[in-house]
Amino acid sequence: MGVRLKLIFPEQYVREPIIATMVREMNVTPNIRRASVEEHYGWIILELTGAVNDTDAAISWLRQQGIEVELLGDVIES
Amino acid sequence: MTSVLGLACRECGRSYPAEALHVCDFCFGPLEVVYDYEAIKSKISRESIENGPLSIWRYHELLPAHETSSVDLGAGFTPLVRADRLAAELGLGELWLKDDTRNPTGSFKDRVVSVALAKARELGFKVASCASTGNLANSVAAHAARAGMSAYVFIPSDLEHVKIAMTAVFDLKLVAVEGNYDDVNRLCSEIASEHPDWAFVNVNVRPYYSEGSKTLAFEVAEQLGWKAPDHVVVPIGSGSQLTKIHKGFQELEKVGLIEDGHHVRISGAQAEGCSPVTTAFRNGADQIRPVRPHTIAKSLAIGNPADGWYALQVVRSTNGGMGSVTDPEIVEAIQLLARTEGIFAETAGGVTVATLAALAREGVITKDECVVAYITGNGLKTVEALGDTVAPSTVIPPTLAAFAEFERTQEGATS
Repeated sequence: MGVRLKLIFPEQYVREPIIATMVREMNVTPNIRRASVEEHYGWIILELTGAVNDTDAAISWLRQQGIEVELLGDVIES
Repeated sequence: MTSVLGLACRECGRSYPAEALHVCDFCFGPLEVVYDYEAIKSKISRESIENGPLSIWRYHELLPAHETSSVDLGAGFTPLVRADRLAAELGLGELWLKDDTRNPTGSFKDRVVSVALAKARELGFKVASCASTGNLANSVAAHAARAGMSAYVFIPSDLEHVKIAMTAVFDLKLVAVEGNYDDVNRLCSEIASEHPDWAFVNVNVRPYYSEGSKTLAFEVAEQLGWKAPDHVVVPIGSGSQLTKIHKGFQELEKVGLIEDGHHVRISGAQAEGCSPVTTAFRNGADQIRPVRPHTIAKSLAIGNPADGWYALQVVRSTNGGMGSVTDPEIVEAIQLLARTEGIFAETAGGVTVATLAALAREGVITKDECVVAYITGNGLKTVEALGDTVAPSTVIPPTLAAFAEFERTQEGATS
């Protein structure tokens, strides 16, 4: 099971090894497809694979670290 | 035969067949419809278009679905009206309004949904679906009814009764989801991936759906006598509409219908309570920072716009401008438009007109330009936004004397 996510890193987290830590601590595998890091902001588009419980747990963990996590693309429109 | 070659990734350029796909498997970039413009050029002419139906389907050669599969409630070919009184108020010269309040369900969404469901039928889908807070739900429900398709529409459970009624009347599966915007969004992403047999208009058929917005450029050029305007002002929600208007003018030039498609300056309008693209434009940033929307312009309240980056590139590359306007300015602009031109727009129209005014004040739009502002939805959809700013001029007892007294107070005010 894989989920496509966009992770947005506020400035204070750009220097933190968040993805590496996630791989060590959570039972998921990230596959980075695109990324961009600017001076004050960064984002990574990736696929996260693992059991549903594990990907859900990883998403919660990322949010606890202060990373904005979005499922790729808003589905709901006006 | 349509002249669609297939789909291509907007990020890495990889090619895909013209199927129900919307994301590149490799880089997760969005997919875009690619056409054989030489083939279209040999088939299309101003005359062939002018002899076509009075709807978006007169441009079927430049749309990704065959006209025989069209789901046509009459979307498009809305009036382009000269707005001299509004222009005078704003200090502008030649100003036109594209009045998309006149669409079958009252917004420009009828253009994109008509194309999406036509393509969905071609691809063999029997069920249409979407997640929406208003305009898209109305349009999908109506077009699915017209096409004889089943429809599943997902809405937040706290949506206003009027908006529910405008969708529910079409007799479909209307699912009200408890939770906030993010909850509904997440659930519907999961439902879309669980049901690949449904045409989720803004998910798996999104590349076709968004092409419908090109007709906003096609019609303006035709209605101006086959020439492009100098400058257009477009509201930004997801950013898709603005990028497709740009694509539309460029395509008309590519197929030889106009000569000046690449000169059009494109400016974007956002509400201050949801202005991630304007913020990036002003800061000279390359990335769009998502925001949490808080504005009365709910039809533009997309905090993480899928096409925001592409819209930003279009505005910059065409030497356009960007504006963001406050809620009181939006209400004032709705009333200005109504007072000067007799058009009642929803809040997105207020955003566009207020931004038009701001860009005129700042000198971004100049008096010698031919300008078109896109008014994309009907005011009846967002009456609540006007609050107590609209009321009777007076309340009187049923006597002639009382009315005469009121008339006396008006003397001088109206003469």
